[in-house]
Amino acid sequence: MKSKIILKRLLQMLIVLIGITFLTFLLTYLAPGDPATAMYESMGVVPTEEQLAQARANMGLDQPFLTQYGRWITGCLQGDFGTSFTKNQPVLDLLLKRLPSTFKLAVLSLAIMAVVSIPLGILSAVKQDGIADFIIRGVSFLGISLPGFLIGLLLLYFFALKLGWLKVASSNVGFEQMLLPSITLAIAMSSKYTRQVRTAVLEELHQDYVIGAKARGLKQGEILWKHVLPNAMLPLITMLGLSFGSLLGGTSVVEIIFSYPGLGILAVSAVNGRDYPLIQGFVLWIALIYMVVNLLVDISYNYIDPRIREAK
Amino acid sequence: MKLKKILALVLCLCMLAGLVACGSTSTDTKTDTSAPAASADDSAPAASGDSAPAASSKTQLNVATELTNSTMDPAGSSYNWFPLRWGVCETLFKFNDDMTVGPWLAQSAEVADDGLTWTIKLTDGVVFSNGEPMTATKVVESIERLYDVTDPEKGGSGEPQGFMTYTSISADDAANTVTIVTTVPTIDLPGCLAYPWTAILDVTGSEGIDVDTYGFVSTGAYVVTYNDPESNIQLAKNTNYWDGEVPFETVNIMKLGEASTRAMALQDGSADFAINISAADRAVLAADDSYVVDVTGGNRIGMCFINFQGVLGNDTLRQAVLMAIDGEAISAVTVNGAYSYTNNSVLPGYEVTNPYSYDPDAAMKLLDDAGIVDSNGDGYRELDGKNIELNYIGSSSRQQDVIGQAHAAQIEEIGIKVNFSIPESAGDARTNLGFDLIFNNEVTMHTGDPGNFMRHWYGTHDTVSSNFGDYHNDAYDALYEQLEGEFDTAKRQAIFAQLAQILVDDAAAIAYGSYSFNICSAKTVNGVHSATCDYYWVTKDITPAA
Amino acid sequence: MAKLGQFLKTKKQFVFYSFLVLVIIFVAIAAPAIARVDPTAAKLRDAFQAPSAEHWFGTDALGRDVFARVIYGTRVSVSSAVILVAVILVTGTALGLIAGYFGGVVDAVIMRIADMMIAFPDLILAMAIAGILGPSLINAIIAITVVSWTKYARMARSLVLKIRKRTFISAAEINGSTHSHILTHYMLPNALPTMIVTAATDIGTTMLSLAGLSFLGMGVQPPTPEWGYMLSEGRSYILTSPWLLFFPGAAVFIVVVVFNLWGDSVRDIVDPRKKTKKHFRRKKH
Repeated sequence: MKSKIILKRLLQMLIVLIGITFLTFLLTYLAPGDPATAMYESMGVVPTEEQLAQARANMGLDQPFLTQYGRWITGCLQGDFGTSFTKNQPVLDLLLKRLPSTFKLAVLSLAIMAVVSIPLGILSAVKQDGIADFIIRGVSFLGISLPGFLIGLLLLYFFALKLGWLKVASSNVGFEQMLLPSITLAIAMSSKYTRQVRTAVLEELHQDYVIGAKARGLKQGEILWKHVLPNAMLPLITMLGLSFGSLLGGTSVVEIIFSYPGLGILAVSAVNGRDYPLIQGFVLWIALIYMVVNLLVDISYNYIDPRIREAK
Repeated sequence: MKLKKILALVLCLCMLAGLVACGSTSTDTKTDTSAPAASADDSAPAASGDSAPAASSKTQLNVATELTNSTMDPAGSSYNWFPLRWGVCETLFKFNDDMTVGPWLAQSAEVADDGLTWTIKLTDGVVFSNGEPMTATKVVESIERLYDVTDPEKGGSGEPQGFMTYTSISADDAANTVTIVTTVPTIDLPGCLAYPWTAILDVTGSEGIDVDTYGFVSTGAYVVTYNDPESNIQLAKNTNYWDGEVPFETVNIMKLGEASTRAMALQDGSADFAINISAADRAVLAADDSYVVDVTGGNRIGMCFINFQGVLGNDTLRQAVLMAIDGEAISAVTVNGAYSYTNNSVLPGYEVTNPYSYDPDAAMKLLDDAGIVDSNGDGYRELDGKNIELNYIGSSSRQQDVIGQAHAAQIEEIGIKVNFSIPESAGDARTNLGFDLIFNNEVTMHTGDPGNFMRHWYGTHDTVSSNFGDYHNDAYDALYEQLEGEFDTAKRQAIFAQLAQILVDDAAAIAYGSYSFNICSAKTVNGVHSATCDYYWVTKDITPAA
Repeated sequence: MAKLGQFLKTKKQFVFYSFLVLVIIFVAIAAPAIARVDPTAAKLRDAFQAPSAEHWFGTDALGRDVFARVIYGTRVSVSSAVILVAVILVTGTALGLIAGYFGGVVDAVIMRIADMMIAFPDLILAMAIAGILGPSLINAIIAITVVSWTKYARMARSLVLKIRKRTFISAAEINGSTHSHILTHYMLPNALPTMIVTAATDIGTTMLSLAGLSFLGMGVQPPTPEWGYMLSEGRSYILTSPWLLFFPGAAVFIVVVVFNLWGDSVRDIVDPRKKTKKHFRRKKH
């Protein structure tokens, strides 16, 4: 039964993937500007008409749209995502090269976020309407209203520049280089998650079984740790999955501010250079990672959630 | 409920504070501007403290750069100066700071009386990084490869051919000389052989190497060990280096796209030198003893082509546009000296007199007198009853976005509408007259001589494809033709001076000035120098500070 | 009149935030009077001046008055965010209503496309679209619409499905009402309140998305004063002229906070139940 559901999901994913790639392919096809000219321009060359025609033929641009798309998708299935116009390297290589640093950044920022927002969210819920709750809610409200680039610039200004605590650049993607960008990402996320944790815990605290347990004289700490938290954390898994998925897509703004060599910078340079194969490869990657993460979340949900488990 | 009230209160206070703060901020910001310098002071002793006792143990050179190239093949993409800039490759000749040519992998070049046959004496004892000696045969192979891969008939860029073409090239290994017979007299042949794409490579010795990533086996002080041009490049010492001991074990090149980030990287010690720091930040660094700021200019011009087929073909309008622009203020204030004003000449280093210097009132009078006025009351002038809308295409590199905006704002002030845009690619517009004004940022003396550059105004758009704006002047063409076969440097220079003056008199371009590129270094290293030609960044002469 | 007084009394929060929103709108409308100078007027020789009595927020690289630019920036930011939310609201609601009402193939097609869109982190797809179409405010609005309509479509669809089988709809159908009549007279009024509330709460976030695109150079183009682009420009001068960052930054922050608070208060009025129970929202960066 279960594997059948998963199979169905995989099939759905495939359809959605084809749809998405078709859409981006169509967009690039309709977009003004000629990739062949763009390629020559990125090389700094003024091409002749013959060279352009030759390049278009090489890139398959003289073929009908559907043929082009078909060719691209067959290539993708064989692991050939095309060659970047501007960087003259296979798209797949370019993406894979960036993946580790993006992955590390995603993990670190999620970790910082969890360390900050889970305790604060719980505190804020347990001490509902107390001073701590006020402050936490106030700060997290302000947090979601701050654009990421502003947070990044402020952190850069104060911590790297004014205080000199952190270095702005280093050759390898080490902890120090990841710290400011991941804090920037974590601040925006923490605000959202703190609110979410608070809501979830509050909801759980108002459940009948908690009231019952209290009446039976169980200690508040015990109720909280043994019953409330495990249940309250469940809905967060979905959110975490989505966050992780979107972090793996790269975080252009933050990466640009901190010169962090992740997928986001690559995406921006692809967009700026009209590097269609790279844009397409990138979009495909995003869609894929997002759906895989979603699927994993759903599957894990099936295993973790006692209600779903018992229902079976 | 209460929470939101408190928030609201805080918010009001913020808004109020914002307004109140305006009155008092002038003193605040004073401390602000001095603060970076102060903090740099604080960190400087610490940084030198780190490295001073262990000066000899400083084995890595850290570089912060704005630009990189996707390939390490000097012929791989046009204007690929990077293998040379990173000290990975070397050329036969080398530009001095006055753009004369000196020896490097070759000692001398002599031309026979026919003006075509050049004999080049190679430097003795040069070896490639694989230990292989650099013979005349290897040099010939290297040059032949360049002309082969760039051959326009085989779909190549044709750019080296634009500088120099030869009918034959031959090697004499015994005499250690190379003989080149050029197709036309080429006065600047040594300059052509100092140009980055002519870097000498061990072509046969590089088979099987991913040359885009690691480059060819060459003669430079360093070799590439890791290359991700979008983030960082690692170099290691060439243990077979022919010209003395290489000072650093490794070089770490970090790509930092933002000028401010590069300045900060220098300040916090993560970079030993940084290429291209903004003028404002340079002032901060210059005020601090721990840094050396080295600025060079005079070889790269920042300018706009004018489309003579468009509305700016009208002489009065064009002159007025030039008079509307305060070029001196733009170079000195707007970009903080990043460009030095050339009196609206596109050719730095040649004195010109500019009849259209900044005078917006006179510009407006000129337009009024010529009947180019606003008759439909929309605030903008019309020409022959048609609205004037200048299509100005800019770029975001080298601060040309601010310059373009400054131009646009000033031209609008005399009542001419400007649509300024920064498209991702300007090539189409530039080659197809799809502009009224379009930026151009170009080295004027690739090979020590601006002859090639001045072709932009020779002939017409149809006859000379690089005459982007379809400028035409018979007197200019006649003078330009005198350049061919003229080997006398002084005479050539006299011709260039006249050409430059003709362009200024014809209001043929908007020149914002010659670009001052710069390299700023921390005192952790010695010997960092910003060369006039901008071809040499990492060199064997950069050493750890004693 | 007394009723209105009563309303104002009980909805103090809403009234207060609406007042703040009106202040912002007033600033946008009265920008010429408040700013006093033209935000695009360049006085090149007055560039990079620190805040002073003459230039409250200092001047930028072109000698333009930053105060004027921040004030005028209100116009662009507020109007484009409101327009964008309106566009998303209309397209999303329309598609959702159609999908829910007609069902079958129409529903399947629309919702599968929505599934596809939801697979994307918004800013990145928007970036790709804006990049392909070319940078401009209009294209940024199109790009964000393309990635954001799905949320509204889903919501509208579920609202339609709730009443689809109710007797008054069947009655209307039997009485020969046209589809468009039923859609506009029954379905839309039913869905609208919820949709508008959602739109109100989204204005702040939308503003951030737009500013983000402009920051990346894919939204508003110079010399139009816009906060995201001003921040992006100011970045190069972080060492020497930090006021070029602080003032537009503060402006974005304050306006977004106000709109977020106002959106929450609107929701509290329409749906007091949700006061503590925040519904699941797609996460954004």
